[in-house]
Amino acid sequence: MTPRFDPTRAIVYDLSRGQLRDDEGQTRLNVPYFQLHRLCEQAGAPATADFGQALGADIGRRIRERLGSNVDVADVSVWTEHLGGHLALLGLGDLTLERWGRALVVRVVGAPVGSASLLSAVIAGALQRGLGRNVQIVPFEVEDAVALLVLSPETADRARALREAGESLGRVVEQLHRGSP
Amino acid sequence: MRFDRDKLEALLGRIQHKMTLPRAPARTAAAAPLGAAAPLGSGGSHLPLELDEPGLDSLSPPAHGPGGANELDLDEPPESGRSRVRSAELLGSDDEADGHPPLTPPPESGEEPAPKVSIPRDPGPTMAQLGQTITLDEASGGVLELAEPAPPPSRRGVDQLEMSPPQVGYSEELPLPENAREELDRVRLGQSTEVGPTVHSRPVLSTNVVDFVSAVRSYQPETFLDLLDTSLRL
Repeated sequence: MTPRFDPTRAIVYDLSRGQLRDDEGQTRLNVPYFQLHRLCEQAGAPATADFGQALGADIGRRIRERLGSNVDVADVSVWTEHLGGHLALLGLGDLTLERWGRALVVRVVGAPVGSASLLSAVIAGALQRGLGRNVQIVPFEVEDAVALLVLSPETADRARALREAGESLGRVVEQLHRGSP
Repeated sequence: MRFDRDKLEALLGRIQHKMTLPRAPARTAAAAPLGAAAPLGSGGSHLPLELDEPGLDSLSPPAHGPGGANELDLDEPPESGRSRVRSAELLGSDDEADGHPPLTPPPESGEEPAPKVSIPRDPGPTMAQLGQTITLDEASGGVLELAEPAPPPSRRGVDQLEMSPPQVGYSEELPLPENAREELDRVRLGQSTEVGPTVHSRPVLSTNVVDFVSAVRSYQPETFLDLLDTSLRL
């Protein structure tokens, strides 16, 4: 039986010591998002991507440890529950997984403003660490959500070019399907 | 002796004063002859000593004895009333014979003359009520001409209007009323309009009957890893 996501005592506020700890005993920090976002902007895109990759890798490790031998055979709903649960614990929004033809799209609603790049790095790091796949994320901001198109590094460059040309997510996915065997 | 004379003079003055007073309506012709007229008629100059009493005693109602004339006996026949009237007439005739005028007029004497009431004449509105008087010019001697009322439209006149009958018949494109066929069936079946058939119509299908099925099976990943690998192969 596939284990469910369990957020019990995921974050422990030790007010007597003035500390935040997770269920593994690691120290956490509760800081305002806008202060962190300002820090990421000053640090630059590579540093922000590295920061997000590290956050996602920790999520992927936890999912893999939680699912155990079922991690490779778990269906989409299981990954939606676990990946979305960990993303919600970080306060990065509500995650859903979508399939556009043969393309995988991660849609996040309620994410902090201007966090598309950070979200992309987090999801990429989680999938790399959780499933051992080298992925790149091409984000699309759609209304109040962020749609993250999961692609290989080679296809991601083409998708970014189409996005910069003004193509929407649907048109980019359609173009990618026409060019694929 | 002088005392009696003074007393009599005072009594005479009191009687004269009573004569000027209006008579009480309660002392009608039926009571007066029995209470007061009888002693006068019988004795004449013999005045009763009870006159020394205050004069207001004369306004008191007469005593009703067990056999008095004013006693109403409901068991008596209606003729008993006539006997009392007849006795009053007899007593009245005795008083006239004695030369004394009756204290109350007999019933047949007719209605008493109504007291003369003086109604002040309306002097009309005062000058203050009239206000300023406006002098109106006299009307000119014009002749008023009244217009004749319009005659009501007659049915005959309406019928004489020119009418153009419709040249075109009914259009076949006009839709039938919704319940026309149902009403026709009711009339043919001789049913009343309150009884109608219960119709169970077949629901309208909203899907296409004809569908094209692709020869290529749609992709359905079994696991999340399959979906991820498929997306990476794009």
